[in-house]
Amino acid sequence: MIDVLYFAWVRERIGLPKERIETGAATVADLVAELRAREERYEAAFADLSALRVAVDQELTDFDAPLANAREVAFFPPMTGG
Amino acid sequence: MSAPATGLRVVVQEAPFDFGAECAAFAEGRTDMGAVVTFAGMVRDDTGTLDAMEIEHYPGMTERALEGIAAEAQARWSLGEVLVIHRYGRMAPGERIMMVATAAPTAATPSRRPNT
Repeated sequence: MIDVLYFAWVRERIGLPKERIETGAATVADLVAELRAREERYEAAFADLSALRVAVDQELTDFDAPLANAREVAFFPPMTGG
Repeated sequence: MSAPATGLRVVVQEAPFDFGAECAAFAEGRTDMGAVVTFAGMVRDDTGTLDAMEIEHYPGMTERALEGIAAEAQARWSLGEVLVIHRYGRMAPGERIMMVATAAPTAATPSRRPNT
């Protein structure tokens, strides 16, 4: 079981901030593929991965990152500031 | 989460902070610090059309990321004290979003900041 968190427009497109998912996905990319196959709203949220950042257990990482023993995955747009 | 280094304080909060009071209290009682530099970031409205901005954050990760940056700066410039306050939520133009205060033994070091 993995907690999956969505922020900003990812949350708006998917329609919820957080969900617990039973998955055997080996990597973040595998998890994204699983989610995209679920429903149109996930497809819409994950259509362009270059516009997304991902954190596994609160550490920024990339979509190739393994999910072994991960408890939490979060998706959000690139951060801006200044 | 590992405990922050001595003299390093990171606060993430929704409520406004009192910049003057924070600056006055910062590094109080430290007799080994000769210089304090403070910085505040504010909501800017270039065109006069902005009602407010909303900052969303990822509780846990935000604090960790800020602590990491602050600890790196502290080590790099031998800062005796570092304070970071960052707000989230809705803020109107002119409101303070965040502040940083640093203290060092001499004036040469505390005003530098890492490239972002």
